[in-house]
Amino acid sequence: MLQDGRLDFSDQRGSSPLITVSRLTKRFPLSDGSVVTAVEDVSFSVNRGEVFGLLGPNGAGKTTTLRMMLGLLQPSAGDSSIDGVSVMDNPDQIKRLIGFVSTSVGVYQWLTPREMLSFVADLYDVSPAAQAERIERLADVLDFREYIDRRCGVLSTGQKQRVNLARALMHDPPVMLLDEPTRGLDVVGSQVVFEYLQLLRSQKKAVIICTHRLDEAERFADRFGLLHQGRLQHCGTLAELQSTTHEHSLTEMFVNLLKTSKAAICFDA
Amino acid sequence: MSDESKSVNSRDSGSRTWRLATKELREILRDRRTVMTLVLMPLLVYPLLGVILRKGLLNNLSHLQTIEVHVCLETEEDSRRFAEAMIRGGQIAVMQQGTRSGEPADSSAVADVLGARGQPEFEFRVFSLDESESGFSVEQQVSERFADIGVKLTSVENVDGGRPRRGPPFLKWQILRREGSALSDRGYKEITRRLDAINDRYVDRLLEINQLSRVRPATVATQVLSSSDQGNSSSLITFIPLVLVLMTMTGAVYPAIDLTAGERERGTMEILVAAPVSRMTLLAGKFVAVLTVALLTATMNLISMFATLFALGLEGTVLGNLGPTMVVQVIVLMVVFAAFFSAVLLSITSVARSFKEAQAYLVPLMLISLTPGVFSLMPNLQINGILAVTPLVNTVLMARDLLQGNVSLLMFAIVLISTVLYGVLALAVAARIFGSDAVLYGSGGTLTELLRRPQESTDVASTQVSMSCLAVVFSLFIVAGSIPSRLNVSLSIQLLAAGLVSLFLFVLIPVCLAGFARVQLLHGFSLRLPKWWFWPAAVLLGGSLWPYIYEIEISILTDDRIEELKQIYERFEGNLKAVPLWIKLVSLAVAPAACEEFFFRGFLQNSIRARASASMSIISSAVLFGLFHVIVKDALLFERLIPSTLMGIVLGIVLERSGSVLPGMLLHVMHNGLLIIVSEFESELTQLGIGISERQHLPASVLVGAAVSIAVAVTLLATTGLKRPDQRCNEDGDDSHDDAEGQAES
Repeated sequence: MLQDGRLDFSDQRGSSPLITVSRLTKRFPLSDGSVVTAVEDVSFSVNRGEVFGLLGPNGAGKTTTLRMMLGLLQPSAGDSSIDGVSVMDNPDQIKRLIGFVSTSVGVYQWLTPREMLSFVADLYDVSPAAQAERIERLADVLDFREYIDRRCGVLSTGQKQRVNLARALMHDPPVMLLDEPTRGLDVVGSQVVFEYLQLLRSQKKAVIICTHRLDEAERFADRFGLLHQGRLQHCGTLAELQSTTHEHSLTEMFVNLLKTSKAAICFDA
Repeated sequence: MSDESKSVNSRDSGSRTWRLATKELREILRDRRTVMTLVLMPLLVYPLLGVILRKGLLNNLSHLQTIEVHVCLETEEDSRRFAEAMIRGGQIAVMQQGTRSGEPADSSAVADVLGARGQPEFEFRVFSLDESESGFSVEQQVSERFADIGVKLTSVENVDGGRPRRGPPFLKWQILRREGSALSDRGYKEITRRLDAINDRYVDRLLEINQLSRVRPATVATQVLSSSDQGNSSSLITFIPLVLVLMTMTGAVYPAIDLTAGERERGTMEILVAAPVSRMTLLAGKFVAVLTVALLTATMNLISMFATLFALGLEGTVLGNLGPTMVVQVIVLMVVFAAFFSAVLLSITSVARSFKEAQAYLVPLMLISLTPGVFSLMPNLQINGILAVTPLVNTVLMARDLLQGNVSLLMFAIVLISTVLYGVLALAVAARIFGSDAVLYGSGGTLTELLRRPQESTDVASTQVSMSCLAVVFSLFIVAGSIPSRLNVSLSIQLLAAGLVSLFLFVLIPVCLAGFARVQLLHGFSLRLPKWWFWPAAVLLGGSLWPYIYEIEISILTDDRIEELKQIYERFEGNLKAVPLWIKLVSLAVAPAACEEFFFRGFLQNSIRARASASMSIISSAVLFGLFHVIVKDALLFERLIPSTLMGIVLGIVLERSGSVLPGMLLHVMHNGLLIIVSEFESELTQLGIGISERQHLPASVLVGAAVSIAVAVTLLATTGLKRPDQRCNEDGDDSHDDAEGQAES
């Protein structure tokens, strides 16, 4: 795993991975002339049907990494590719391959879930026939048929989240990026996300889920990347991580990591 | 990407823009806040305003109907005499008015409508110094404002033809007025009017007694005509553009904020930016939605405004006579203005991260927008070149002129074109900033972001950059284009100055803007050496197109128009004869041709081509080229549109084929140069049997010769290989163009 003196967490087992992130780096110039490195030299890969948990405390660089993968932020160095398509060369094509669930449960107050989903499908050029069929199917799978024709402004947070999860699947992408999908949700809401991940797994999608709730992550993900201060510190399955870090749970691993880096960062897990 | 798939994409993005717009509209129109501004505001505001306006007018008049004037006299006795005289004078005046026919009635429009004609009623409040305890003199009473008028009566010697007279003594009326007091002035006029009536009656009686007929050396008959300058008669109309502009703005503000800053605040912005849709498409959808709401608001306001006016019977007062063409022009202007303002709003609200921030940005904009309203209220302010390209001011002034019915078509065109271009400019700015990571994630200052140079250089200017450049060039073209002719120097120098202006407009400005946008100059302006065979093709076309352009121009012109143009040209030509040929060639052929090619083909068409099909880029840049040729200093030469556009198409095809602006420059220079040389040696040519004068068709031999040469050039262009490999698949599309062009010319 050590190449050129750097850690490389590309998955080298079996068939070629769907998502390949290689040495992704993002630096933000500040107004006073200094530079903040939000993400540094991050590499990993994710296979079809696999859920990869990108874990770390707030400000670790999880969201920045996702935004670079999605082509919303231009990487300062490195590249990310899906099925051989590079985000640097073909950002539009990349966006078609990714379903993105962001932290904020953003819905259009004055549209109904049905209208909103078909609007999103329009953005991705999904044909009207396919739109209708997918909306029906997702309404059943994610169980929002009851309020599919009510306007989003009157829905509860959990209901909005269901609509939002469906929204990311409207164009049936092979890759899903989920940024803190359980933030602000109760146990029932988290359970919905868990079932959603099972669904994605069964559909053989490559999934990256960002979260700082390590207890949840252990339940959700197949493999983990531990991100701290912009760097990927550890990467692997729970068993692999346990053997390298000699710690039992993800939380313990992180506490250890924080101790060694002497950074005073609080977890809300 | 192949041409076909590109055009499919552009069709797709059109319908997609529409679908996006319907979603935005659905969202906005369901929002109660929009409905409030859209429907309730106009429904409430105008009737309310109307009632207030009407009440105001009535109040003013009822004040006018009884004017109370305080009059001070020295004694009680004088007060009595004054009162008697006023009553008698008043009665006589009324009687005189009744007998005199043909007296012009006061035809104030407002008074007309409200049925209040004639003189106001005067009420003289008389008091004497005896009553007053202040101890002031009559003069002091007036100057200290206790009285409006002071009157001193003194008896004068009765000089009735030397005979003693019966009846009351004659009096000398000394009237004291206060300076600068309207009331004092009105009172004075009324008192003298009544006294005049008494005097007149007395003289009439004398004449009657002495059996003399009443003959006057000068008699007066007055007729009141309505003013041709309607601005004075209906000043209320100047408020309408202001109200319309304000209402259009009000309608657009809320949706503009909601669809940009609101997306961010709701957390839906990431849905949009994560989708494979260009920012320009997203923004186009939002733009259509904001524009629709702005227009709906404007329409609602207009309906409510007119309904109120009709209901209160004020339409004649406020509107005067409004023709259907005028209405159409006003509507066109309003649509264009609404488009412009929607684009400006979107560009500003795109910068904002929240509703609050957007509102903070918009307050100064609204304040700035109010100032042009003042311009519309200045009746003597004439719209000119500079005002016509000043955003907002041009619209308000143009709307005022339209409603007053005195509008120059040239100015109307300039206002429309410049406003459209500013709108495009604003949209380009909005697209640059909307959803950019600086706004999304705060990686930089937002407002400064607008002016930040891109970090990486590009080969070809984006359409945003080239359209922004077009907006700047057009405005300056209107302003700077007239400078040379205003210089107080010889015609030769003026012509050279015009050449310099071309250089400034079409070369310097685009180069500066392209440099700022980090566009590579050589690529961005198609400055590369073409394959050798494009040179002979350009020479052939440059030498043989003019007869056809000339023929087209002749066939378009009507007889009246030719006479008109002849006069314009003759005036100009007389002076032109004295100018050396080389100056004419440099300033009228080389400079404009080379500079225009540099801008319209090398920069503009090249930039459009990067996003659109070959035919689209050729036609759009050719039409823009044609439009620029229509506006000549102080006239609109519409007949130049078609020939210039056709010329633009030919030049566009040459650029498309050769990939270089240079052959086009040669072609254009030769074409202009030949036209100048032909007119220079017109007499010599006529002697040689080649009759070329105004309006006459060219000899068939010239046309045939030119056709052969064009055919050779077209063959050279059509059959030779293409410079740019990515355009290899466009051959079919271009050939059809060549054919169309050939047909148009033959």
